[in-house]
Amino acid sequence: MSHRVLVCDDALFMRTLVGDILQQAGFDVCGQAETGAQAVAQYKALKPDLVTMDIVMPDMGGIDAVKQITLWDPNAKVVMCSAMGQQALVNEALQAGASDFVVKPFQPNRVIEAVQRVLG
Amino acid sequence: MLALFLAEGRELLNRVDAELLLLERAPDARNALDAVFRAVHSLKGMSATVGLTAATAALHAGESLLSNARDVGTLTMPQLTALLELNDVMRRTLDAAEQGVAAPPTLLVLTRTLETLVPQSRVTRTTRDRASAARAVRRATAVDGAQWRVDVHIDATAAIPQARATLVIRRLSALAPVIRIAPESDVQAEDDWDRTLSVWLGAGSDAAAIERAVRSAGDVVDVHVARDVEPAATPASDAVAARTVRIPAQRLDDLLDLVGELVLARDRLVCTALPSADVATRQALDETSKLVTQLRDAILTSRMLPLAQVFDRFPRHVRDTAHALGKEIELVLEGRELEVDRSLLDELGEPLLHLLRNAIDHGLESPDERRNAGKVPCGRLVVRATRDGSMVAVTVADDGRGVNRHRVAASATAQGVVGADAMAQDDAGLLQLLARPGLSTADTVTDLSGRGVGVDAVLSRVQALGGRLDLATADGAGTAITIRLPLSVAMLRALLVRVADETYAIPLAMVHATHRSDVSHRQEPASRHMVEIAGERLPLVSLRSHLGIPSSDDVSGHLVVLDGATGRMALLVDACTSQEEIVVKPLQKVRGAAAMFSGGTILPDGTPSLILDINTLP
Repeated sequence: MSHRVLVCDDALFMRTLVGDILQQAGFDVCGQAETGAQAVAQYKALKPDLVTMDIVMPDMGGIDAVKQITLWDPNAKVVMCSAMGQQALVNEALQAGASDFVVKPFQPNRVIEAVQRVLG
Repeated sequence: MLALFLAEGRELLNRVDAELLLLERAPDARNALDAVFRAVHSLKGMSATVGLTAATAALHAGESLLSNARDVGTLTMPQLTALLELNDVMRRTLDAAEQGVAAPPTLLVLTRTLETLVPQSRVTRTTRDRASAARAVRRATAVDGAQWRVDVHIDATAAIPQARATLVIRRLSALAPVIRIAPESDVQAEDDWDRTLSVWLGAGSDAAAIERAVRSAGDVVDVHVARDVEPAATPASDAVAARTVRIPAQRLDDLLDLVGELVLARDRLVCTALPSADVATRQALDETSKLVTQLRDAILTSRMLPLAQVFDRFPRHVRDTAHALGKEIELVLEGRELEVDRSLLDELGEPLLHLLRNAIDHGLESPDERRNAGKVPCGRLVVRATRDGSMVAVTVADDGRGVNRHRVAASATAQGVVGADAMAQDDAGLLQLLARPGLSTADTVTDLSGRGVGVDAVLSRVQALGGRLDLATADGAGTAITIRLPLSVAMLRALLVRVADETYAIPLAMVHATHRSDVSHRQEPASRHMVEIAGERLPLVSLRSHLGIPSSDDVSGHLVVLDGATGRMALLVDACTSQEEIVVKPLQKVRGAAAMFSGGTILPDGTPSLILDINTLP
């Protein structure tokens, strides 16, 4: 059975891109979220095996979402999606409980490697 | 995919335009600044993905500028103009991408312009110096308590290598305690970091497992795991390089706990051995005693942090709150450099924020109201920290309208408080009324401070920490509330009192006075009644009946006058034993009887004692 992934990004373009990369590698994209608050709600509803999480989102940012998700499920696996120049935020996300990170622009193999590292 | 990128990209540009125009009118509109930042950030990520390199660089410069503006809290006119231009050029870039032609060359110039508009952060020599110092340490030093030394080489092409290093360290810490990391994380953030990391681990695990863990963090080119060895000789310069060491906070807490026990053990030893000791033993005891005190002071000092860590959150907070309420406020912070125990620092933030919110919401008037009162339109809010003996005093003072005594008294009377009018006449009485749970004097309920003024929450928090609260207010001239807390939370000056054969501790900061009591236990009814002390009628509580110990009639007793959250009261105890410096041990949170106590301690004679939480007295 393929792993179920929740994709969170405020840009539809990025969600589609990440979703495509994951689906081509055989993952099941079970949900998408546009804001941190949605991500938290979707996580609770869908209980996915993994979440990809943008850092900067309106409403509730990715880092706060990670905090809430790992509070609810300490074993949650979250891969942060960051842009260049966000070292501090990535570090903060890792402290908050994220398992790994990938950096935009996304290279499909890097994304898949990170996801597999976390699930493996 | 391109169509989607273009559609969403244009949508983002529209949003940026709208928000920038809003910012032109209000350069410090927080929400607008955030929205522009997010939009530019999203667009940057998208542009990078479709390979618009020049646009990505320009957007990155724009994002840095916005990030800086968010830190500063406002956007300058030249910055705003450049961002509007960026928006226009990006629009043309998207058009060009749609038609399959090259991006406008103006992007390069614009990137430069944006970069020059960001105040340069200092790339300090000291971090560089420390980078080379760290390398020197790694060459030579073996680390106390370390069993493994793990050298990791992170892929030079890896993005955000510092975060990768964080992951490596986290994986390792799951196997064995991490004792030291070189270089430090701020060096890892530097561009010239050589992507190598050394981690020293304590006992546990094995080389193969360590290597597996490191590789599982990703982007690792090379790992070398070895047993940590003693250095042949450590050059002096390397010793200097290790001047600052990071220690997990928990270890500092453990040290303090241990030295607390040591102080108690010393006191016990002195109690029992000193009376019968000969001169030589006496001298040895004396010296040990002094050294233990010095050790404790040294450990307490190592836990001290400057108040700046809490204070520096205030300017942004005050600005936002003032903005939301349409008030003009000048915030003055004094005593940022004053150092307090780190546990206290954590505890101070919330109550102070509460007081600031109150001052802005209830104390300071709107600019119009101030003008009408003959004041300058901009209100003044001062947060001042001073050292007051073994206490730290933090005052939040405003030059606003002052607390309205009549309204507080009326509100308290409506709640059934007897004599509220008289109490409200002096500041101490007024504070007692303000600290009544649920008291509200706000004309309108605002979403900032909620319904009550919340002084009760602040007071109970401060008292639980062994501190006290003072109020000074003058009609039309302003209000000052001072929090006094012991510099160190873990040690407490306490009054020891005895009932039956038990000794209880009361934080000295809450004790107003003690008196011999004429009240015989026999006459004392189970219900609460009043007693007159120094011309003041106070509610009387018997500790015996509070604790459910049967009264006996052969004790004369003492009255301890306490200043609690609900006002001054007299506590009847069998005797006041002594004043001691005690080490507070937290109690497990439990319901029922234990809720009457805020902690426990071990007395010099070795017997355990509970610390009374006087706010739970009836």
